[in-house]
Amino acid sequence: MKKLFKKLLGLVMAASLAVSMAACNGNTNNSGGGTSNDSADTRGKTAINLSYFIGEFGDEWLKTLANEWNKTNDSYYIDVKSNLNLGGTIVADIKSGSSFDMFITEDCSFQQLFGGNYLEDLSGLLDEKPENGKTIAEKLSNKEQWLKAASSEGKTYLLPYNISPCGLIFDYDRFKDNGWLITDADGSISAGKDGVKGTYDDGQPANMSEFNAMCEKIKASGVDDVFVYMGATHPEYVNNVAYAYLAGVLGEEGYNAFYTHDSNGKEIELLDGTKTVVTIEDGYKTWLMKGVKDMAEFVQNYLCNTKFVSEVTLSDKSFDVDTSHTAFIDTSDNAPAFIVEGNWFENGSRSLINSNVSYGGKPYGTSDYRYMILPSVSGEKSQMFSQTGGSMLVVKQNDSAKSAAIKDFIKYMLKDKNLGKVTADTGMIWNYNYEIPTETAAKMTEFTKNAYDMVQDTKNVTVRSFYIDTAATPIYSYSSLGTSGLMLFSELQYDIVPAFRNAGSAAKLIENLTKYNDAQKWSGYLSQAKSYGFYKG
Amino acid sequence: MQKDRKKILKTNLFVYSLIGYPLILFAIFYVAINFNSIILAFQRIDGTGKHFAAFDNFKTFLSEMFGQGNLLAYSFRNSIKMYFVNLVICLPLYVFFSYLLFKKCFLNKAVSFLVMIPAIMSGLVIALVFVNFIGNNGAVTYVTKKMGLNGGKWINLLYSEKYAFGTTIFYMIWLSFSTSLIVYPTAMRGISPEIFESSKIDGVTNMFQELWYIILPLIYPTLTTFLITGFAAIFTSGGPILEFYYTQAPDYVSNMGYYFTKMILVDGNDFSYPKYAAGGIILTIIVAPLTILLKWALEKFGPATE
Repeated sequence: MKKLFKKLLGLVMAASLAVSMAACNGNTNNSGGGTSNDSADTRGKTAINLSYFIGEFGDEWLKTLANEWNKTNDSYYIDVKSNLNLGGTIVADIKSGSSFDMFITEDCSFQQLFGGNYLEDLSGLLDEKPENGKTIAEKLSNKEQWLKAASSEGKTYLLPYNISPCGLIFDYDRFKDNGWLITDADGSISAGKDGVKGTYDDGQPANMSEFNAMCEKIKASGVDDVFVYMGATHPEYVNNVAYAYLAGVLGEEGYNAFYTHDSNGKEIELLDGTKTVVTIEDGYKTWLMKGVKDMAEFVQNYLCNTKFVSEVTLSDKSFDVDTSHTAFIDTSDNAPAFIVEGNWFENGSRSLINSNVSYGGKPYGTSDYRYMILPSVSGEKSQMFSQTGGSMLVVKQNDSAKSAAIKDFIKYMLKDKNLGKVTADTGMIWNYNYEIPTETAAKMTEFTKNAYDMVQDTKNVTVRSFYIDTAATPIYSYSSLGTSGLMLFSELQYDIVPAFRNAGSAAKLIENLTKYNDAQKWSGYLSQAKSYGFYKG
Repeated sequence: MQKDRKKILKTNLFVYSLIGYPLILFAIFYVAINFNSIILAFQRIDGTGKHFAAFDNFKTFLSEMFGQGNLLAYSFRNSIKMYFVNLVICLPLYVFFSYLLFKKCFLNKAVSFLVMIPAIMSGLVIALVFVNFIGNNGAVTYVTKKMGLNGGKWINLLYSEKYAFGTTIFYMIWLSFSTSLIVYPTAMRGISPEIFESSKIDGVTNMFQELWYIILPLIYPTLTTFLITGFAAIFTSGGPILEFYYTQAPDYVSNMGYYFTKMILVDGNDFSYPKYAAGGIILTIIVAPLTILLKWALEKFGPATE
């Protein structure tokens, strides 16, 4: 008995050793039996392991598309594994031999994988047509900028995913009923930036004095918190509002100088009032542009001002997604007027919104939520930022048939009808130019319709992603500066709300920013980027 | 002869299977990693590869650690503060409560149960409960509002510069009670009853005298173990900061354990690793001799138990 036990134990130990060793080999090649594709016939097929960042858009849309594609392929099936993996984690995973074949995630900070033969070159896909119409390259929104972020030495390693705006969301009907919207001289609601009445931007302020008057009016009507957001759990959302204000103040040219750290021979005004030409050699000076002070004051006057924002919004750790959404959809007169959120907000709060119906709220999809576009420099487009700059990447494959299958799945996903359906079902805005068929568009919620119209109005609004802007700028993506934000307020502090909370005032925030970002640190970042062959000319 | 060899082989196979796995883990996750870390500390990494950087990383780390107003300086000072709070406040409290449990004082079982709850639940869950407990809709806020404290407004215990560090210390003390209330009473129960009886004959008349003259000297080896291991972990213990704030802790609550975790989470790129590797070596150089010195001093100057 004792002998048998010893033998068994020995076997178990040896087996566990073997299993552990096998686990070190990242490339799994399961046949059949996926976890996410129960409905699809996966028997006898090889799995394509897809890692997907699951946010409030959910993963149903991807599983549905995967199941549809699985039925068309005899050899492979897509196995969707949802998680919360972003840039740094994915980079480490791929470098150590990932078990995933493909990633769909919310950022595009993978530039340091471009040089190591880790990723599949997707440039061939750019010339493919998902349907009879445009090629994928033609469908790319802001193609030039994307290719800067996604390519190296003629190869393209990333394809865009979503670029869903994030900003100040309000309920248009509530604003209309309370008389908070901007009106024309005849008392009718103004047309907004696009000059057309009956569109997504009706009644929105044209300048900061109108915006201020609107906030004061809201406050005077008994609303406790004009703005609500998760200052302790998701302070990064507010960055997008602050960046949008900054880009609006700086204008297109100024903003480009700001994040590329090069004023292209033109003079820019700094915080101390001096004017100077900035090159990449002294690029840190663009963080000291006068517009940065305006942004800090905007944050101080509105988003971190206890007149408009409660202490709870600013720093209650228990004030999370559900509690902040509940506060915003509340039907009482003193409920918050704006929530700082993104396109995923409504889909993520579907059950909250529906259960609020018994308290007088509107059913899911029927509230006329819209984005409040912040005023910009006269004659320039308004700026919106996205909390996402999502990308799709494929891990280097040994098997060319598998690689072709993955690319075929991507091509399938990028059909207009699929992109449109996902937008209609979840509110996600893809970083592509795509037409939504009328019958699909009819299924969109009011909020998604408004957001989609805003994104499509490229004449008046630019939707940017700081992830893409930083990924396209080597000083961020090829140095320890990193791509998690457009500026560092202190060590690894990219978020303006915690930075403001630490500083206590706009003036102190600017002082910290000036002190932290000095010439010495900049030269360190620059030498790192130069070591990759950038900025040598 | 061959039978014997077969038998030996069989026995050895079992032994190798048993120790092989942990040995491989030790080689990879301790030896190799520490070796790599030491090499990294003297390197600079950039797009052209790895270069010898002499003591540059050490200089950078030291200048920040002993600088002013930066995260590393705050973290260094807070770690030292945390250890001394642990030494001056927590240790006497743990011993006192352990003694009360040992003496089976009133409600000792209820206290034991309450103190053990955090130890049997996930740390993240407990932190979440605590955060909600002190949040705007939490029980603490309800009480403080009723009492009219802070003008009837919510007290921001996690982010206010005035309270945040204290809140994290309080949480740490509360959470570590469970371990201490297992270890110390167990050590006290190990003392022979005859010693207590003879101490009464020798004039020990009250609980304080019993604790001071009998219990403390006899559990001294346990106390020193806690003191030494606590000191050895002075710069690696992160407390509850990560659970409370994830990567968004205000500078004034940060400590060295949290600092390293945050840096790897937020700044996890190849460029930065050499600086943190150098930091690890610097802290080891500070802590290792001091721990040995502390051990020697505690053994040399501690009370005799004879």
